[in-house]
Amino acid sequence: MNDLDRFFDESLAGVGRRGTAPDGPSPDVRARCMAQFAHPRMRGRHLLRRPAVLSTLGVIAVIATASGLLFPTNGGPVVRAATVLEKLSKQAAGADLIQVDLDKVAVDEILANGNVYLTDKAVAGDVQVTVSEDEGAIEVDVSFAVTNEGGWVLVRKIRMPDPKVQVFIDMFLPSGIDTLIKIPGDLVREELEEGFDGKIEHIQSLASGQVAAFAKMVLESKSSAGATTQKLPDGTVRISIEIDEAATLRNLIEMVAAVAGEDGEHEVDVDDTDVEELLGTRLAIVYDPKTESVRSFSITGIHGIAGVITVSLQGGEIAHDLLDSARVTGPKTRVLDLGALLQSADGLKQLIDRHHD
Amino acid sequence: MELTGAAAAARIVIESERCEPSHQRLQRVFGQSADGLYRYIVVRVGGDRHAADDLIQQVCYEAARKRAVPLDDAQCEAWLFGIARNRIRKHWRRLRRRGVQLVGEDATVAGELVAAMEKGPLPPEVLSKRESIAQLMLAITALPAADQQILFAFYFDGRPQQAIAAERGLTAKSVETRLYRVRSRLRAILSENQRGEP
Repeated sequence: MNDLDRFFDESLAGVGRRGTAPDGPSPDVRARCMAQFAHPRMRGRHLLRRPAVLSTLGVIAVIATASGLLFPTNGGPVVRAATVLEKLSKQAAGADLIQVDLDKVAVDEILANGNVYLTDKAVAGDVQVTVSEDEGAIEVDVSFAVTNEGGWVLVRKIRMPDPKVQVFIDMFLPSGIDTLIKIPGDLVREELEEGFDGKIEHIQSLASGQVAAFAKMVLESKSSAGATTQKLPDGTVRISIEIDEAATLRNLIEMVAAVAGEDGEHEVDVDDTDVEELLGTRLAIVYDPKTESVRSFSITGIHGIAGVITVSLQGGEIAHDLLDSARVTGPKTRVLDLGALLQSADGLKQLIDRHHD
Repeated sequence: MELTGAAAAARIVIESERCEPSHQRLQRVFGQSADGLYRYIVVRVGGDRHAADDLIQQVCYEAARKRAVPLDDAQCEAWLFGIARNRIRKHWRRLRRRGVQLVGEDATVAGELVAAMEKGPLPPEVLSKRESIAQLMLAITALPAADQQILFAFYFDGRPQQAIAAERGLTAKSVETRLYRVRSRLRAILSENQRGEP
């Protein structure tokens, strides 16, 4: 035994005899920790618990697109796409609409651009996403619209860094041809309901309650909180706040606390250790003084998130935008009916056989 | 952002060929390293188990939010320890404002321990010092969880190498070899602490 061994034999055994070895976490704490990992939908503070929904759709898209070789469907694809969208627009009509715009939003290795539209019954959008991997980048360009009644995914592009996987994708997503995949409602209903789960109401409540009260307070000059205001041609006011120093942040926190106090139902719990992460953040609120409502609010420069995320509350442009999306796909679009596909066990068998071939 | 349905799906397609989904990987790696991670935290918050309970849950919450989870188990565990380190720093920043003294690596004491290593067995007067024990515990809990387990089993619980080997499906010789490596790593950690390295 050398000196090092003797040292540790003596010293560690001595420490051990003093009984200072701490235990692990209690079973309760361990279970709470494990629960965080057990449910992917609990992974973060997202506007909606959409990942599971959209991931499922993405998987369905890949499967359905692959199956397209077995079930090529044609017959006026643009007309059929428009029919789906019109149905969606009727379902969404009259509902409050939240639009989330993503402008070069980057989180870790993910870069996203596009728009997502949310109602309490539907989620839809046009998104372009790039995921940087060690071996290259995954590029995806899709439009999608889903309701309890069903939905569709329009796949424009899926590009993989792995050449083998790309060959596989190219087989089913030929270059220059878009694929519109129809999804039956029973495939997405449960996921969709879980995904919404009151989140839309929460966003609406936040915008119409605290954010509106905050904007009103700024305009009434009760406190500037470091804000600048700009009147827009349509009568709304754009309020901009750049949190560039701790004093500005403190003013903002005091204002938010004041708003929450007036509201009487909310308490503001600010962790001062997070202050430094908030420095550099920019807020913008578009407020309509006539109706005392918030048209949109955006946040830029959050620690770890680049780009601009804008949340807008508005009514009913969803169908128009999405119809435009479908129209620009042109005649080279094919339609796959996933419901019919999944009902066909024989079709799946052929798919598997073909894959093995 | 999580607005990446097809992208996420595509990634799942790729990952499914080479590894398990990230949340399952996190669950598994955390299950293996929870004790070591908790010790790492509790020693660095002065034995405050309530604080440690909060912090380890914050670590898991933060880890579960991340999209980029290391694929390798060892890297994944080190990544969890890294998140814990940042959370502990935040914890101490808050307490420092209230005048609470930081529990951390002490270059002087670590230096004394390293110097003692050069001379032979640790003198009782050094071993009896709380500061020495604290520094040793900081170094021990900075080890990977598996190393901590084997070290605690042998030195703290006093289990024979044969018994440890039987529990882990190893040979006694391999346990001896791993203990040797653990001691070497401890020495390296103490030397880093002596130099004031993170």
